[in-house]
Amino acid sequence: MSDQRELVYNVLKKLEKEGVLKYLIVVGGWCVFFYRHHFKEAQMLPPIRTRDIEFDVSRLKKVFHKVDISATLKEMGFIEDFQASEGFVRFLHQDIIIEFLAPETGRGQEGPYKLPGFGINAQTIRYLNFLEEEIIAVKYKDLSIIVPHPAIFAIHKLIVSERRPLKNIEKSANDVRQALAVLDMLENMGEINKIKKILSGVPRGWLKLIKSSLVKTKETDRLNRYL
Amino acid sequence: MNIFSNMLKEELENSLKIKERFLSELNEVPVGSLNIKNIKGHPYYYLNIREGDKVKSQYLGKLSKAQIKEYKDLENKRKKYRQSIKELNQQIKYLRRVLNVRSA
Repeated sequence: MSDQRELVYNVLKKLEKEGVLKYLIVVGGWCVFFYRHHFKEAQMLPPIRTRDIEFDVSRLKKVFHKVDISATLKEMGFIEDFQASEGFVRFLHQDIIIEFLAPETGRGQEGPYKLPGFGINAQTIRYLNFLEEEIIAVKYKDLSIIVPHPAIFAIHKLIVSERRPLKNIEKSANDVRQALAVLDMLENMGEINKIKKILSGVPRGWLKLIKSSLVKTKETDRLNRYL
Repeated sequence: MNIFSNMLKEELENSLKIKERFLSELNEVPVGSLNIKNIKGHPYYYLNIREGDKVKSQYLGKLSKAQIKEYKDLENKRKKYRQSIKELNQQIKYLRRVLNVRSA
């Protein structure tokens, strides 16, 4: 596992040197790892257990110099895994899988999010723009990593846990576990008003998903606290 | 326990898939390592290729700096891929032992 963390650090460091790290948002399970490092109240968060590290690349359009991210990762021993049917790429290593994501801009949007200046095509997914609504920079060693605000992260996890297919029941349970742990951290930090504020702004359909997720996990008392 | 073992199964499946991809990438990298012999102060470039127990040497003629770098890069790439496959084999062995799964 320490090899995995070292590799992730090396990848991030390389992306920083290439001048693109500050435009990438780390989304997915690795956020919890960075919260653990950044917030002193986050020591109770579960340790990272995922091989996939996901980056939201939609802010890369602000970068005007070309960076061949694909070549950079290949130099580090990654291999490119082109998903021919959907047109996006992932980068495989024995310890981690790097995925690039972008928000789906319309229902059933076809094709990947193309970033020819960076040698990558990103996968488009729903609800990702929610993670972009409030981002923060967290310190990890000598790096500054951009992640969603923990409250946004947790609420997003509750939403996606309800949207996963039935066969992904473990992933769904893991989403909820991570969400609840981050919500607990925020409550310990006295940030309950932040959770309330974000929840008051989400569309009604999403709120239904959030409620359903909390009811299923017998966490209904949270609904009383947050709504 | 079920959730835990399902996660490990998923890890095993991922490791097997990634290993397959590394093996196929490795097969795409041309074989041979660059050998530079210094004869009477002049460098002579050979490509050493293992064929079974024997190593065959193929004279490459004069190489530019860019060509030498290309050969070295390919060697490094092969080394990295072999190392990745070795580590994946260890992961697979470990996961199979934990899950009590026999190799196919």
